[in-house]
Amino acid sequence: MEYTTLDHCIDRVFPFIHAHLSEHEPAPEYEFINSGMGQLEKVLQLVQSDVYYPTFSDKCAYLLCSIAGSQYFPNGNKRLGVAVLIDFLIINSAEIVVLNSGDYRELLNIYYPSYTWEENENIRDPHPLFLYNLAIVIGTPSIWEFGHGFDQVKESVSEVFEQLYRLKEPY
Amino acid sequence: MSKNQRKKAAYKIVVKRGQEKKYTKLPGKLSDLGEGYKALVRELAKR
Repeated sequence: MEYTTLDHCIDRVFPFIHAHLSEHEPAPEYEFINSGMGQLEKVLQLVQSDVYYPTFSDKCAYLLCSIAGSQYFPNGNKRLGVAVLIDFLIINSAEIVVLNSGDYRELLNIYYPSYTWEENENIRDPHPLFLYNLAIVIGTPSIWEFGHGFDQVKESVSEVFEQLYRLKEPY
Repeated sequence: MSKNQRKKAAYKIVVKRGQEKKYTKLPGKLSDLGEGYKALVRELAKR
């Protein structure tokens, strides 16, 4: 298993986020916000624990939920969570099940029935559109099932990812 | 819905009509990702 590190974030994750924003869409200079960087480093270390996060899907869910659902940085937390997850999938050569947007929408509806899927004409591919919707769910506690806290959301995201992602070599 | 019920329902979506799951892979580098992923970053900035 390969892990995204703080250096990886500085070298390629933050630049990826900044490269695809216009001047009207601010993103923080992540590396200069010490408190946020400290929290991010803790997440990147803790995800390496097989005791807390024994499976690949648990690790993916923890990375996305803990960063996208946080306020580590003044803004750009959802973008960062998604970008770190994608980096983690890439460096592990993870495979993604092929689904269309309707399938993803149905899948999300099973876990978050009170959420209304958002179409977005600018995001044309199913997997990024799914991540867009999932990041909104994670960042919006009012959508979570009644009585659910962060841990239950993380667990349900792991269940979804278990259906979607796999490693070529089982972990 | 219980965890098992959710799992069964999700499985039905992912594995259609008994067909095997088909998989794809992301490109080898973040910088090689397609337009959909770039738009994802841009659109999340509006949320």
